Amino acid sequence: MSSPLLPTTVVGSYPQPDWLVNREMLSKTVPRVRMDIWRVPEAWLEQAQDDATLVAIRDMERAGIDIITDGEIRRESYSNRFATALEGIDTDKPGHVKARSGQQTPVPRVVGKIRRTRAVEVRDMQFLRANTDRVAKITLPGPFTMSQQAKNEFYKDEEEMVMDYAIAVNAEARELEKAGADVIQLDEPWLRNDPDAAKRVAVKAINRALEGIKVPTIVHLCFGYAALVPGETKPVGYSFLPQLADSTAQQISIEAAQPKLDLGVLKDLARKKVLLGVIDLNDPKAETPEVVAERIRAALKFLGPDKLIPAPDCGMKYLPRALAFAKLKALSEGAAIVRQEL
Amino acid sequence: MLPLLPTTLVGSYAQPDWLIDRAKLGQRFPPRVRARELWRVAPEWLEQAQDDATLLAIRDQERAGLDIITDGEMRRESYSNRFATALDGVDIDNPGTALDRSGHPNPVPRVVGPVKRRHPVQVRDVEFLRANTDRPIKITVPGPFTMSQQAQDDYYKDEVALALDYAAAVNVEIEDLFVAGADIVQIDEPYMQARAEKAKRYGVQVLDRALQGINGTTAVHICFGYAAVIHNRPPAYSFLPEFEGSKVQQISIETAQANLDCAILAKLPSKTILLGVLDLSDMSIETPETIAARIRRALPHVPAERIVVAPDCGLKYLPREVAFGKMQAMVAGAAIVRRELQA
Repeated sequence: MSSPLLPTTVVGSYPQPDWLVNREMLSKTVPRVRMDIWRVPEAWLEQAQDDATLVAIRDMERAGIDIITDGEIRRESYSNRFATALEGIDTDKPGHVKARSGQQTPVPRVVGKIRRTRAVEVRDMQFLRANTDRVAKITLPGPFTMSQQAKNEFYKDEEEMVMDYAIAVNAEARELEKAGADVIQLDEPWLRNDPDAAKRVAVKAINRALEGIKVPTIVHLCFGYAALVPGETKPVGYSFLPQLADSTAQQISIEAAQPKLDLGVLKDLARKKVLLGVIDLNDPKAETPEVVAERIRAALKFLGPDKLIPAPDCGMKYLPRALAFAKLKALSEGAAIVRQEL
Repeated sequence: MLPLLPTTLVGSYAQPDWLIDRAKLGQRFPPRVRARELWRVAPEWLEQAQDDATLLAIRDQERAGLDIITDGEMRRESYSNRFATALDGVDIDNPGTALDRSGHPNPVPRVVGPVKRRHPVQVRDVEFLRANTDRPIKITVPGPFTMSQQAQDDYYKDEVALALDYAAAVNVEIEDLFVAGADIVQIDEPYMQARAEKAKRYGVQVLDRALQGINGTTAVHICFGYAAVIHNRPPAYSFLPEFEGSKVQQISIETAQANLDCAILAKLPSKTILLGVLDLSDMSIETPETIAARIRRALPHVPAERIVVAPDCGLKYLPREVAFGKMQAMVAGAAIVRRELQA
């Protein structure tokens, strides 16, 4: 699978159509348990999700993105489709945890041993593989993040729970690889939620989740959706990033555009490829290709062009679709400018 | 630049179940007045849903390898009612009745004043199609003769005058559709077959009025009715050679289901023939060789340079996977004959 220098990608999600989901309901909170955002009756929902996925694939292709996803059109959030499909979870009677915003959020209640008893995203991956010739990536919620988005009423030892999540993720990842995934990404935005716990167990859990995977792997972390976490509350640096240098993931995905991240941190990740966020999802205007090119050039001061994969800061789920498309077009055109210079 | 034996749809493609109630659609006559209850998507999101379904129809045609692309008529309840109910002079709220081609009464627009086009109806559809494919594009409009037959005339009391005013409305629409980027505009006139006696009297006059001053490539489609609705086929067209006297360049006909004797096509020596080679009453997918044989049947009567390969009729009523499979077979069948001719 040969990609050009500075291949462009998306982090994961793409905007869902209004006819498919109630985007207003979606915009209020990121669901951890199931949430009925769907506007299409159950009988036609899968067909509708498939079709919306085709539209997302087509948009990414037409925008010129090199490494694409299925847009996560079938998901209510990046994590809840997988997290609520596991054994050991009581999804009917959720627990509550305090979210980053301070809000009480319903989350899966862990009442037994966490086990993956069935494939969750395998059909999604097969569908993506059958419908694009481009490099295909699929995302999975990371074990640490899932453990943070759960209420533990079973495990004596939190670390054991995290590792059981990791085993479940690993079983899924192996099947996704078989189903044709060229790249597998773990979404771990909650690594910063509990930096101490993260330092103890996160790298170990990530490595367990990625055990035996031969295709390139990525860990994504961010400061939260721009639509829900205002820019002024975002920190200027990651509390947990250099530690990921020790993980087996070959690539690290971070947001940089909106928080104007000090790119000096990239030096800590010298052995990794970096999916660098060069699209600010809080900006209601599409970047110009030149602005994107400038952000890429800034990063090239700290890492080689063979190590850099330009991307948006985060998932594009909450953006208006036309804006998301325009931003992806700017992304691919901006990368092309710098590619020409190199 | 189109290849020899280019492929295209007649017009419609299968609409998704999440968009429209296909079971209800299939159980009734094609709507002549509005049938809003067929849509499964709420009015405020319907246009977005229709746009997305159109993208899917375009994508399926491109992936199947068609050379000339339509919008699949995703936004339409029937081929004719989107345009026919948007005109001045017709009362949609208090519809009249007209006999369908099967002989059954069907609610239709009631003509209560001069028929005029109020505003462009399908211009956005063409602009959307143009913006979303690089291939040549075709758009269909309902024919004036057919619309005049699918109406109850309470005003003109002169069927030719009524049809000519429909033609004038279609004419200004066609002008706008070419400006919007259409490469081909096709006029659907299935009722010229269903009402062949009347068509012989004034069909060509009405058709040419709709094409007055038009310089772009135009086609006319004529058929025996949807396979899903009209089950029997006569062995030959009652109205067809008459088109030779019209200024329309392309004639779209069905040959597959009717097993048509293609000798009749020799009577259209100046016209390009959109040759229907997909039998839409058959839910199994033709082999490319079957398609090739159907194309070859026409070759003694029409040179290949004047043949465009197409289905018998619109694919609206077919399950989507059958429609897609048939398009692929059609493309593969055309390729077989193209290779033979160019060997």
